[in-house]
Amino acid sequence: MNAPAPVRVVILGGGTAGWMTAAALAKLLPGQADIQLIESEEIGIVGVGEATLPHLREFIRRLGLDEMEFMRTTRATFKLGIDFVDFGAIGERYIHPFGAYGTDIAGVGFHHYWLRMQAAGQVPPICDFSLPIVAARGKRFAPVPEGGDLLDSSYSYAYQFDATRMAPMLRRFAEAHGTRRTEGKVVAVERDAASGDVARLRTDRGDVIEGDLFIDCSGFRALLIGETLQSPWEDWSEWLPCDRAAALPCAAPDGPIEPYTRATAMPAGWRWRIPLQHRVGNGYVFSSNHVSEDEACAAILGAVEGEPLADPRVLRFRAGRRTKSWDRNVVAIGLASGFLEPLESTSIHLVQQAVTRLVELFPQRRIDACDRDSFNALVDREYDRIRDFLILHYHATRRDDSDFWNHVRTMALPPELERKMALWKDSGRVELYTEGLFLEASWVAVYLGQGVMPRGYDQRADIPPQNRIAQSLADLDGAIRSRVAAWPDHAEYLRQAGAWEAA
Amino acid sequence: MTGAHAQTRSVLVIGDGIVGLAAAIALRRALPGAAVTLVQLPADRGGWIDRLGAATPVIHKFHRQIGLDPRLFARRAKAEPVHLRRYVAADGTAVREAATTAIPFVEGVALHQIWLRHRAETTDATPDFAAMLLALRDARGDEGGFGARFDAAAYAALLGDMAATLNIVRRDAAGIRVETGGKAIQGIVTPAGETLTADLYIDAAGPRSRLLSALGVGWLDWSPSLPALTLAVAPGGAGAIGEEVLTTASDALHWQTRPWSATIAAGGDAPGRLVQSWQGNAVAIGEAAVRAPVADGSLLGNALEDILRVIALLPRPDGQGRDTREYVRRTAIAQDALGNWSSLCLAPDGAARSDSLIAMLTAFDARGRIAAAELDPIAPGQWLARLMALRPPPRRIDPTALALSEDIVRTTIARAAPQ
Repeated sequence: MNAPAPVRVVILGGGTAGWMTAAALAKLLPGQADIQLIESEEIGIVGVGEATLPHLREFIRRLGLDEMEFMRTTRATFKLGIDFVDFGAIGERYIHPFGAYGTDIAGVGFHHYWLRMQAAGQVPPICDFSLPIVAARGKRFAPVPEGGDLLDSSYSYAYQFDATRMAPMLRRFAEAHGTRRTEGKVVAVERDAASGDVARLRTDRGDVIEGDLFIDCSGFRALLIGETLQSPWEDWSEWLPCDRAAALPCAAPDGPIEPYTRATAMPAGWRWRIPLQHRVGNGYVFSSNHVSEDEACAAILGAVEGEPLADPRVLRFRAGRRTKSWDRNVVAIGLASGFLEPLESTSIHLVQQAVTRLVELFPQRRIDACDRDSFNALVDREYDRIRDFLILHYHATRRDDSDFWNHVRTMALPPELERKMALWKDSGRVELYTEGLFLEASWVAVYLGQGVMPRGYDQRADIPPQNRIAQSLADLDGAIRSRVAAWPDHAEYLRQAGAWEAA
Repeated sequence: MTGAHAQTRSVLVIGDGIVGLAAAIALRRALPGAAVTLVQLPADRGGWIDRLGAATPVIHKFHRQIGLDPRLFARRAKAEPVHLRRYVAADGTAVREAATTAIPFVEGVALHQIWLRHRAETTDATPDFAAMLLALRDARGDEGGFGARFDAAAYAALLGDMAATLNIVRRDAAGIRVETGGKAIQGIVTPAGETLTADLYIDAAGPRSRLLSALGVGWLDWSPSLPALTLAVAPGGAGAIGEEVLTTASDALHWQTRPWSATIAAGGDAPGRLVQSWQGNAVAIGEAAVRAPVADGSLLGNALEDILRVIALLPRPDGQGRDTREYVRRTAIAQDALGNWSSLCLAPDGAARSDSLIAMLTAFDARGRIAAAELDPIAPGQWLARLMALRPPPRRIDPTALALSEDIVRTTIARAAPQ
């Protein structure tokens, strides 16, 4: 058998998505993919997604990057979850942890027992039974030990990092693995007359770059998938009305560093607070129908805790996705393929997922429709499920203090989410799926955290005598407290582990 | 919060075959406070499960849940594990399939892709793929193999003893009449004129099922894609420990295991499934809900999964719960997977295939990749191992495998090859 000729891959755009794609293809498909990346130093990068999800660790591992070097370069901190403030009602808060509550007993989920005890009267909040939540509140961190017990394996972690530092790091990596970089702005996209596929790109410097497979990482502009191929866009703004973000970095305060991201509900959206080593990222994600850009900038300036390091910068976007992320011989990855607000830190994850799928379904020079269809089905499912999960954060509220919250509280839901919520409200059960980002524990966290109490629970949770469950809960609570008490302070651990970049 | 007042306090299981007994025992264990009654019907020879002593590894999980000692199962039901299948074609050629739940990955690349590359590029002999899986199985430990093969009548007797120990009430009935009202069962009337009622009715009567049809639930006919086949089982099989042999003859499929031998030939009921397996206060499980000819243990495996799913999602007895819809969704996925699995092995060439099976075969034939449906009880590794055994090799080798160094390919094959 003759080895097939390498597929000529042309990546357009050198932001986070572009260099993540280049790095992964270069590392995982040597000899199979011949990679060229075009970017212009004159075009800035959005660099969204300072907060990430635990899956990113797998990406770093597969590339063979050193975790501590990655953290030093990107000034990263550890992350155990997201603290949601004022979402269910003003004054309420909960942490969505990277991990579970308690452990199943006799095959029945922990939260069913908790619901029984809650119905019976006094029981501490369910948050107390999650190791990562208790640790996050104590601003402590420890890595997941190898071969630990059930409690040790009940959590995971991610990073909060400076996204503008990730792309240069991955660029060095991709170039060392054979990726060629071309400086320039694309001024013309030429298509094959017969097939309609994209054939070559021309830059303002006169370069002509031919390819078999084009990866559109041009961000919101979507030069190839949108402007050239006119691949349709599915708009989700009816459910996710936020369409702007006012970003504002601040100086890092002295003292402990939170190993979690905070999301605080605002009158027309919400704001993030992401503590890094050298600064704190902030931003107000808002609906321009409900508040003006100037008002939003004033609001974020008034809300931040530290010294602002710049003026607020407004980003514009719209929630939705391409109906086909892979159209003809163009694959859109990152903002060119879709956008979901960073409420659950999913932006970089969606890039990572798309890159992983592309590696799995990497085509030959002549693209097989079957690969393309599989890719699109997988990407769609990922987006759709995250979408429903995000909508839940808005809809599951008792807030009636602004037009924005009145709108999201009363809006009609996508039928899939309607069905999921009906099942939960009825019996405390979560629609089962195994693929996708947010599984049972995450749904339980948001439902209970935002005050959506089910009418019933699994009847098997009624079997053990009440005092035995109370004892189990007390034991678990004690075990979590003593485990966390032995953990180092988060900032201290960053230094101790070699993750700290001496600035 | 309801908890207490929405409980299922009584369950009536119709049919005392293996599936009915298993359901009654599992419910008795899961709901110690509920009354469980088993309605014994006259013996029925139409179903396969009560005659075909074969189950997937889920039977071991099920036994753990009901507290049945695996050694007792092995002794009483003469159960034997199986982890290798040999398929012998009419012309005498044979292929082998090894049991696995997951194809191992090396450097992020699936083992079968590395095997395909080695086979295409090397003039040295590439070991049998099944032999490689077996060698790895020895290294990784048994994952349950293809499950268990056993004496079905002895297993039913064992479950019967267990039901008696658990004080499950048994009622004899030569036949039953179903009383319905609206979209729910009002009661089951015996020939003696007695009316049996419960919060929940479980139809485990096999092909004679009638509870769901009495409630107006329709049947999906799979005749276009699956043949109607009959089963004959004879005790006293033969063969090596851990192996079974499927031999295709001109008019039948002969299946030989150690506890028995079976013959599958044309005839019998048309395959298909209920449009929905749960309606109001009645749920159909096992062959009452889906009928498909199989030449492995997946028919009973599917029925046991049904029981576990009923317990996990036990809806409110008023039948108004949303859990019913979730049960129907999960069950339909499992049943359609069973239909595809059956069709892959037993449908004649040229038979129609479901869209999902066509998509799976297309992807496998193209590049040795499959996208199994979510919640498919048949794991991707099981699909791949069977496709590798029964289909021609994929047309192209995955680029991730081609990107590996020759050294990794060589050492992987050498390491996984049987010693």
